[in-house]
Amino acid sequence: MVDFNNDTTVGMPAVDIERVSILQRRYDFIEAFEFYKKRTLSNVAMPNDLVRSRLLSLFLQMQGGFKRRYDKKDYDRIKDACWNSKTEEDIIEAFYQLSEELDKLNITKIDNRRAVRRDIAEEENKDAGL
Amino acid sequence: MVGGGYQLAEVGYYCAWDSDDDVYVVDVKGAFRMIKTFSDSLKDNLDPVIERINKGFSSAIIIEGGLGQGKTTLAVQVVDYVNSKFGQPEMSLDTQEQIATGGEEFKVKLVQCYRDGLHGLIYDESGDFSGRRYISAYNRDLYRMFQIYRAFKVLVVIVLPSFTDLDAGLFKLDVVRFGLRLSDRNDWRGVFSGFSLKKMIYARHNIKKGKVVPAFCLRNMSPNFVGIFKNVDPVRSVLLDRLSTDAKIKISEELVEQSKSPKARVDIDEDWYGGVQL
Repeated sequence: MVDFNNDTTVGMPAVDIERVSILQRRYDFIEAFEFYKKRTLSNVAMPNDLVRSRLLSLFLQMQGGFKRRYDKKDYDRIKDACWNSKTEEDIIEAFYQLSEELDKLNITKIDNRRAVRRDIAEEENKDAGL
Repeated sequence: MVGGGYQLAEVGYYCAWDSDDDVYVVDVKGAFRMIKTFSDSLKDNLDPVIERINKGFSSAIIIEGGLGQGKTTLAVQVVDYVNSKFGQPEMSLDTQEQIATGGEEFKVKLVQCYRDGLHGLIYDESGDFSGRRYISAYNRDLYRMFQIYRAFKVLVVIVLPSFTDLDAGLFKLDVVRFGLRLSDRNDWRGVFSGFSLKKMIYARHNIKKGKVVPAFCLRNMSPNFVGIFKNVDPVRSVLLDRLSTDAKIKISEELVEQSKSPKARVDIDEDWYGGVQL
């Protein structure tokens, strides 16, 4: 966790701090959404303000990068999806867009290792460059 | 064999046999699959190696195991499989053009296989074990042959008791693609465990670093694949026995000739006693 009162955090490169912060925002969103869904699925009235605000936090965390990477049209598309999301469906759709961006940035992409069939010796040899 | 039975053969599979000596692999759902020669796991591993040969990359596989574990039997089946892939008949045990016992014979038959358009050759080492110096010469010859035989498009099946006897240089050439360790043979089937070149290199490294003794270097590693193989049919089994016996007689005669020569006696002493004259 990023803690600016901690010397370890202060000593970390800014890139790593930013990456961890984004992951933390994403985790917070999913946690809030889980809490929200748990209530609504039990037919308990539940406002989605916490989920919305955490979605916006995630967007704000990544906003600078979006602005730099995309042209105005694409940037506005993501921004509007986040800021104008009112209903549950809008929130989910906006999160999907942000999540795909995280995947493109290799922040949440974990399946980047080539699948090797270890039961074929030649495959293992090739994987080892032999 | 009279009657039938079953035994755990591969991971998740049982192996069964019936009164006609037919061998089957039975999966957990009870489906039977007859084994004609060896398990599909070995075929799946041989196919990429055959593909390599077709592309002009020299390739070899090693079959190692103790005495009587069926090394030559499996080697014959492997070469039969290679022949079938190239639309050729089973290898002949009469003419023995695809089996070489000893370094000198290997060199001659490798060229002969190329000329005859054959794509598999067994290199049975049994003729080469007479001392450490001879093994070195064996390794040197083998190394030189593997450097030049790329265009021959022949898969060499090296048969020997332990792959650790081979020279490190052979592994640096990336010619050996995988090794099969044989164990637990009985009257109707043998068991093999397959190890990739990568694993064999690590095994050699572990030996060099003193982490493991040579005899157990592969036993401590998990194999890439396992499987079973059947005995060859009775007629070929007799021919194989005769072939093996002939090779042993030849070696015995050579050893007798060597021991008659005083110079050879000194050489052998130097080999066995580390060059110290006793």
